[in-house]
Amino acid sequence: MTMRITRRSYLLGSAALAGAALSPFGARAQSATPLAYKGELSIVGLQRNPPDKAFEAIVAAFEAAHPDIKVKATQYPSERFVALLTASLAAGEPLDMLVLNGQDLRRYAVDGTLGPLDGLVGDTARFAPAALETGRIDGKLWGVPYGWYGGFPVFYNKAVLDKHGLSEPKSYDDFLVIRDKLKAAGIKTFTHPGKNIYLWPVWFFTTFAQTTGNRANERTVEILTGKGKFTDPDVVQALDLVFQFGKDELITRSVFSLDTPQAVAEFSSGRAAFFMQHDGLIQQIFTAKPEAVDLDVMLMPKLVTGEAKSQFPGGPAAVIGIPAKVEGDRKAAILALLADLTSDAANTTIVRDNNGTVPVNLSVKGSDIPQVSKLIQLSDGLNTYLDWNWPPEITRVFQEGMQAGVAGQMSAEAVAAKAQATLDRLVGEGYAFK
Amino acid sequence: MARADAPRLSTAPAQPSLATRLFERCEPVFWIGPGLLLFFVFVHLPVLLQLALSLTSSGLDGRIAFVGLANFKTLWADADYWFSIVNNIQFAIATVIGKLLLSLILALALNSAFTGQNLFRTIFFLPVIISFVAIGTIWGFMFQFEFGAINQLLNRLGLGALAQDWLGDPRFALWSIVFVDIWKWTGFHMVIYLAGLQALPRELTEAASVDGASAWQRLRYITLPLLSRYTGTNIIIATLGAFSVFDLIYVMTQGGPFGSTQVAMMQVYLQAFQFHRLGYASTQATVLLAIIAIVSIVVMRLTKRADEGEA
Repeated sequence: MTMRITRRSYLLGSAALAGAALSPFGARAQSATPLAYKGELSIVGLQRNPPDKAFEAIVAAFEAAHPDIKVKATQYPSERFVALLTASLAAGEPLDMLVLNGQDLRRYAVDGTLGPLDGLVGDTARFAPAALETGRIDGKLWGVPYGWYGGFPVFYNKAVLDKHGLSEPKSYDDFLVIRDKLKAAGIKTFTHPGKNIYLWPVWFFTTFAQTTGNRANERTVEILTGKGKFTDPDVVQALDLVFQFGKDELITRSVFSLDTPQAVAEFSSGRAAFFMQHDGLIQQIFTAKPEAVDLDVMLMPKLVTGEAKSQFPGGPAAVIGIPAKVEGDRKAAILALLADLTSDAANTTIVRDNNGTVPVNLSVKGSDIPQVSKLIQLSDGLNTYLDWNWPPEITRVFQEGMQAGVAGQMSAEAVAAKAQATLDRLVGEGYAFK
Repeated sequence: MARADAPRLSTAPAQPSLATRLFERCEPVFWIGPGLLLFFVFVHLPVLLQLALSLTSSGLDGRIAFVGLANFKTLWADADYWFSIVNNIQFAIATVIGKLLLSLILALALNSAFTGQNLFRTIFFLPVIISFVAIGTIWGFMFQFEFGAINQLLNRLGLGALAQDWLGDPRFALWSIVFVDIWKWTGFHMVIYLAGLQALPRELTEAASVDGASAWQRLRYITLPLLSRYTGTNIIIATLGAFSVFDLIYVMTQGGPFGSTQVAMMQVYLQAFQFHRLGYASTQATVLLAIIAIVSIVVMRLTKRADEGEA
């Protein structure tokens, strides 16, 4: 049998080998210990747009270092990930590694799909504690953070504040002063994509971190396991604090018809001074370079009395887990690939190539952009998105309830009562938080 | 000279073989069978599966448990679902009336011969072929409170007091979507009415004109009654569309603000694809199917009665 080499395949092959040899992963992978496993490893991950080229390069380097191993990477779009993975698992497709959205980790950890990773992933001290904590459920490590993490701090337009003789607010009352001055100039205090109900809960996550004395995730687990209730004072107070932004017109009614691009347009044109938005905004602003914006970032000022500190909600861009069924040489091989994907060298490239914000690896410096550097400082103590623990029905109650509450259509007590009634119904139908 | 085939003509015709007879009897099945099979697989089977699923509690994990009528009991007490049905009914009444009236007016106007008749027909039909996502996005921009074309226009005309947060205010959100839905589908119903108008016998209206009937009287007592069959068709199509509306609302408001534009299909979507309760979502869809069936039967009966009355 003869093997036909076309010009195209020759060029592609040469390029791949050269790339693998020249890349830092290639250098690292070639010095790796040989693996006993031979065959295919199958990874299912999240589809990224634009594609995660760093991930592809690390995998290519791994294959080059271990010629007997072929890695098959399948990617599903985030919004259909669960449905497609469920179908794939039901069909008995082989699976050696999952690159998941953080909120899906619990699902696959508690249903037995994933195996624990304690003691298998090297020194976990290389990860930022807030990022690593996302992978821990019931005291066991089910996933390790990949790439970068980030969330929803408060962005503000320093140029607008400077122009009106204002400075970064340190309290709620400062916001009211800012509102009065900006209103006279026809500028909104906050913009928010209020039409998109999915983004309302981040306001609650921010205030709940404070009303619980920075125990938002612990309190959430208590409530979901019946040791607390959504009608407890800390929940109601957190909702009330957000609704006060609506009552005081720090968030105006006009945001309810804004989607994310429109809210970004409002902020980047200087028509709104503050924006609680995902930190991907930094890259958007730096790409567009709007003249009216001098971007800065801050934490929500302290809105409660007592010991609580300000935090912002967030989580890692992705978490890597290994299925429980993977064993023996195959498991050793996939753990070697996991080590390559989560090394400091890999993390540096992943964050740089994907314009990530806060690297999950502590020793990786991250971007020099001042706003990102500030965000990295603020990220110490970031609290994981609470809806990663909530059942989706509760998330929906908060999405709709927050929108209605800010508009003055529902009270904090009513939203809390609806959330508790929904949880009670779910428990009655067999739901149990694990 | 005797014809060569004479003996054959004089004898009784030969009986076709059993295979031939069997083939002849079954032939229609061969022709329509594949079509019927496809129709069954893609139309009837999903409905049957939906009915079966509505009696189960099943999720995306593939686990199915028979729960009898428990889902229907839950649905009975589900305030969100019934609230969305009320929204659906309002949406259906408003869009059906709006589409019918506008399409009839347009059809009557475009039925008479004038220059540019085809151009206008095309223009009015154009929204029908544009995708819901594009329409929802464009109208979403136009309805936007501060930068939207509608409020900008009102402000320019000195009618700034009428400017509203069309999609952000629960008092206007559903009606704004009603407006867009009417705008999208009027051309379609107009075409049906045009077909009806062109099939009407001209003698009746000409005779009525000779007898001195006014234009309104000709419309009221001749054209409209003769169009009742087409009106019935339009009502059924518009009603089915109104109760299955999803994409336009999903793109324009996602069911908000504060649930004011939640409709039944949004609830089904939520239960199936966000809460992963396929069994309960099927129950909701089954009840919706029953509602649509009842409405359709009532409309067909009324139309039939009107037809029989005319006959």
